[in-house]
Amino acid sequence: MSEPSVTLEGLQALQYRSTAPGRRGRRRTLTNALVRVDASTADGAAVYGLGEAQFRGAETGDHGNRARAFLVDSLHRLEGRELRVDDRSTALRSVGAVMTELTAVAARQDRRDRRSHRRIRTVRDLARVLVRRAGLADNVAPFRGALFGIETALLDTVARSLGLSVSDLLGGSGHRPSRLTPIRLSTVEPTAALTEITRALETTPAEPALWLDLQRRPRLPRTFQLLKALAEAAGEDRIPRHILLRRPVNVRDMLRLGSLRRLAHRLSRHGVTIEIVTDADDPTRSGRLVGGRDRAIAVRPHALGGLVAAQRFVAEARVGGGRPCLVDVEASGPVARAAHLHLAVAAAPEHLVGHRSDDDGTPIPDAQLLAGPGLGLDMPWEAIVDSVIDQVIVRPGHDGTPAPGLEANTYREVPFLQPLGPNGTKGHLLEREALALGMSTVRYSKGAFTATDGIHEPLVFKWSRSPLSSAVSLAMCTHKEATRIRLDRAGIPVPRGRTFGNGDLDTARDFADQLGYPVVVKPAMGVRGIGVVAGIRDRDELDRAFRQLTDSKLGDQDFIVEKHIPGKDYRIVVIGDRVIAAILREPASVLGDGIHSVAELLIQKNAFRRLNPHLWGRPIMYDDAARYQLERAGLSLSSVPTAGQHVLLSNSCSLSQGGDSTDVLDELHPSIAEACVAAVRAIPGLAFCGVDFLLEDHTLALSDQVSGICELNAHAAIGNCEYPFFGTPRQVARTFMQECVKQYGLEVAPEPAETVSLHLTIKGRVSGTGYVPWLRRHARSFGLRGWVHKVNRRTITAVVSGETAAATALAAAAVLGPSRAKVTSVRTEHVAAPSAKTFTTVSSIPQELTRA
Amino acid sequence: MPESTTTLPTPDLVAVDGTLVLGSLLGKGFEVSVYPRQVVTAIDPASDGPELAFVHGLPSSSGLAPVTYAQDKRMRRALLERHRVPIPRGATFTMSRGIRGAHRFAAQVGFPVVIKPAVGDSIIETHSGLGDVAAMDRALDELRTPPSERPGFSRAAYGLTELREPGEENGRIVVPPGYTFLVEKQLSGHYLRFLVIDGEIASVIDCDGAPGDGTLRGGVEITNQVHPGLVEIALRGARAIPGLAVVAVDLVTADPRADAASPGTAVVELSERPGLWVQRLVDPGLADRLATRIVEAHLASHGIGPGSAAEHLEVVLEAHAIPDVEQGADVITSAATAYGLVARVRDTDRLAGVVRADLHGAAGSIAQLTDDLLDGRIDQLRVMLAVLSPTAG
Repeated sequence: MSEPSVTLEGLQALQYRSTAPGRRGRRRTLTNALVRVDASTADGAAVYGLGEAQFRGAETGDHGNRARAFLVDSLHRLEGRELRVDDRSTALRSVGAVMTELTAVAARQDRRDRRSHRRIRTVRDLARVLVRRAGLADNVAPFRGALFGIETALLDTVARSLGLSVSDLLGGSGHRPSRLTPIRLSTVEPTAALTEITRALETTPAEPALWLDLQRRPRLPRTFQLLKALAEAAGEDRIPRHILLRRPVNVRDMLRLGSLRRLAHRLSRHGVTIEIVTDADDPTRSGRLVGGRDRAIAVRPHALGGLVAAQRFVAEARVGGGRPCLVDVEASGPVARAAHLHLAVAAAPEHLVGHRSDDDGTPIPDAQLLAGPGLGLDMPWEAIVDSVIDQVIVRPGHDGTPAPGLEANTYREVPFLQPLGPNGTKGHLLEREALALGMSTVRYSKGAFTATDGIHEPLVFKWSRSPLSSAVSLAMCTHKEATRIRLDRAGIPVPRGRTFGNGDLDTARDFADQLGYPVVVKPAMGVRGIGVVAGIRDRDELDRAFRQLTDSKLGDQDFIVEKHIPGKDYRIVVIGDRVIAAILREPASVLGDGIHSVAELLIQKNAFRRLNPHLWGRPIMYDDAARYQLERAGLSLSSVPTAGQHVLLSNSCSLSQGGDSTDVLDELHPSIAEACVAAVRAIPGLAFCGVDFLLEDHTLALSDQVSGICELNAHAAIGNCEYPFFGTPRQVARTFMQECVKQYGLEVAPEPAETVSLHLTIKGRVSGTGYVPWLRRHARSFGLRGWVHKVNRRTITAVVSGETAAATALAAAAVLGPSRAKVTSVRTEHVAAPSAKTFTTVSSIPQELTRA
Repeated sequence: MPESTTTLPTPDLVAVDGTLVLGSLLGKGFEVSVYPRQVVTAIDPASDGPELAFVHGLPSSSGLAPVTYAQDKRMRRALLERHRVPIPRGATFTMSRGIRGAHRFAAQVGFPVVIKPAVGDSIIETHSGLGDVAAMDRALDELRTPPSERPGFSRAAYGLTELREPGEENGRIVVPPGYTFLVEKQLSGHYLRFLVIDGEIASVIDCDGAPGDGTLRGGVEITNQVHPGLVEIALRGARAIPGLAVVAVDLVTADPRADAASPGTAVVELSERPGLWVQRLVDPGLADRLATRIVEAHLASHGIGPGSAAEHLEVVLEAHAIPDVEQGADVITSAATAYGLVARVRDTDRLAGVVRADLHGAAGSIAQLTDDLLDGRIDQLRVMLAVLSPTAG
């Protein structure tokens, strides 16, 4: 008879973005990685476990790509590993042995990283290290957030194999600690802070105590003031009478914490209790020695490296007379939250302090989670599927090949464009072509630049607004009704319809009845498909569409009701009197392979979208529309569609909403191209246009099908046809710039250059913002040669030399710079190639700098 | 003349350019098609000439990117500086993070200052005479209201659409956190409005008050008296953004007849729109003549002569996309009568939603009636296309 064990056969890490409230009402994006372990028991049964690694820099000891690398390395180490699961204690010992090994690996890895990364570069770096060594700030051992995720997944696996819940595996006390919701104060000014607290309490169920996190921001005097105000408010029952304050002062005042504790003690009277919480983050230290008698201690599994260490710490702290509170990390996902709950039941801390998350919908009831087996949780696809940014699968025979049918285009310039953000192509591609043709440019913002050949007046560009088209053309094209009437009078096919005043819904309903369904509703002056609802089949759907439009960003406009043309959605680009690109746009979907689930297929497809310069910031979202489409098809995210099954995830063809683009230029019927050119000619002064054409079949003549032009875009995005998801990419930006050259008689190079050497003059607030290291880092990662030099407080100059796509992208990104910089302009001119073999910082401008 | 029951709308100052240019085109005998938001196309029915086009009175030779630059005050300032055009000290700030910086900046350059939205139609929504931080805060509080909610807000048909999510402050919907505004040192002296058409100074008004902040009371035309140095600055300003057929340049100087080198002389505003309401306030005939000059300059760029102009004319109005043609016909005749026109409905097409009517009267009045119909300003009747053809013979 075989020994009871589980063998780890497949492991994967799904790195995903999670958000938490930031300062000034913004959201902060944080990274987690869902760890999944697929194992088999000795008798061949399949079992799996889930964990959640949390990468939070100093808070968990996980920094950037090194944390990811450690996690992946750990998964490889675990592949094929066998864990004994004779009983509870054997299973815990098996997991403990693995974690001891990985903790040692983490320490070794950290030592190597420290040697290869000179981490102390500035006085501030040195101060940070000293503060940590003195125990005044987080002193978390390396890769604790990653280890927490791995350990949870292993515990979940062995617990499931034993048919236990994780809390039972850990030795459940059965005690359910009270829950507290932490409030992160964005200010310590007493009045504003109390308003913030009152607001937060309005949306929180009654809790036995108030947990405030000041994030080590305020100086001591300000915390003193706050404490007094809190005591007064608590005494008047405006806030709970028991207040716990975590991370109350700036590290500079940490040595004076004693005076704060004394004040808290003095203010604790007449039924009001104010406590200063002590953080526990050193796993080598006994819980008994942390805090002191009767002190609240924040125990964080993600800083201690796992549930077992945290459980031990809680027990020891109790022995030492402390009152341990289990605290999670912000932006935790459902797996980590479930793990905390199981740990809380096992370890019985005083409170379970958990941040609330609005990222993952309806939470699973505690009782269901605690019933197990394991964490009592299935793959939380709903919470993470559209936020996954990286997937690593460690499994024998897995080579990373995507599902069949997903032979999408990938583009190597993506890394160059990423510093420009999701809309990077829109403002950059024309400048790239201008520079490739030897022109010089001045960029004022992410979208605006001027280009000159040095002889003629500069041409001005903002996004795809160029001097080629007239202001009149945009005014007409952005008014859909005017466009429709104009095209109709020019004999070009358009859908029947009309515009209604904002709020005139009754007349619009009557009109739709008269027109006959299906109809389309859209804002009169729309952009990017916002507020457009197509395929409306009856009055009920019409009312839903009105609500959707009203709720949209363009809901305050007049709107159009028009006949729905049951065709496919094409974007056809016309420059001058030529059609130069055409794509078919289809709603977000996945193609089944009979192996992968809908969620896995979606993640794979989004991985390809991340390799497309136009689509990398526009993933397929798992939203209400996707849920609706899946429900209609009788599927869920966990369903495995049959091979060749096409699963729709949206009803919108918008690429911004996850739609696919397929190049069809070579198959386009000439009559369609002629209609597009005629449509553009019908608009005065329109030189560049994206024609949105509804067609049954792009290979058929217009006379053989029902069709209609539904929109003309005078400032259409260039990237969607330049970088189609499927099919042949078209050089839209190049053709556009060549048309400018022709129209204005510019004197430029006959052919675009493959490599360039560019001299950048960057002006604005650059000093003290880390601009020079930022530029150097990007230039090196783009494979560029050259140098950077700080001229004065407001000017930096640099020469970047190398591949055109990389050098011009960096020239464009230079107007953004690091987050603290505020650049007002970047002048880019051609120079002779520098002699430097790498990219360096120089203390004086090299004499070789001459114009090319 | 029959009695009219229609109450005419108050003229919209921002729309004056488009209406005057439309009147000029009608006077010259063009057949015009007018679309919403003052988009006008015109052809000469007597010849095979090209189709002309205007928006808000701006000819189609004003490029899309240039007008966009003119509406972005940060870039506009940068381009003016590059062309060595003197501008007041100024800086842009965001509503979310920049308020304190704006206060500091104002203290540094010295009060009073002006605050304007950084992007959007020029020469409107200027908050001037801000003498202290409290006054700045009051102005910023007004700018916190999203543009579309501000009283009397107007946006050019080619303006940028705000797609960022609005913010919220204590339950109040406010502009997005990234909304930017410009703080500029306010200069004192004569406020001059230069109108530049195709690179030539067409008019200079010495304004009594400033057009952008609602204080304009009138002015004096000083086109032939202004110092050549100031003319040179205005022309350089107009050239700073290449691709604009018409430019309104506002310049503040101590003495319009003195040399431009005097300190405190600077271009404080620049607009791609003619802003003929300013000249109309001084002399309605001057505004009409300038509108005609804009039209004639555009004709010349197409190789067409100025032709003759008639003040009174007979045209056929074809109003399209009217939901109820009977009611629409009544509204049109009634409004035309109120404008002093003789109107007679020729026929209506219920299925197509078209009303045809003969109009007889002043070109300016026909233009005003047409603009109002397209803008839905008369009895909420919103026409989507008006075609005006000269009556044969």
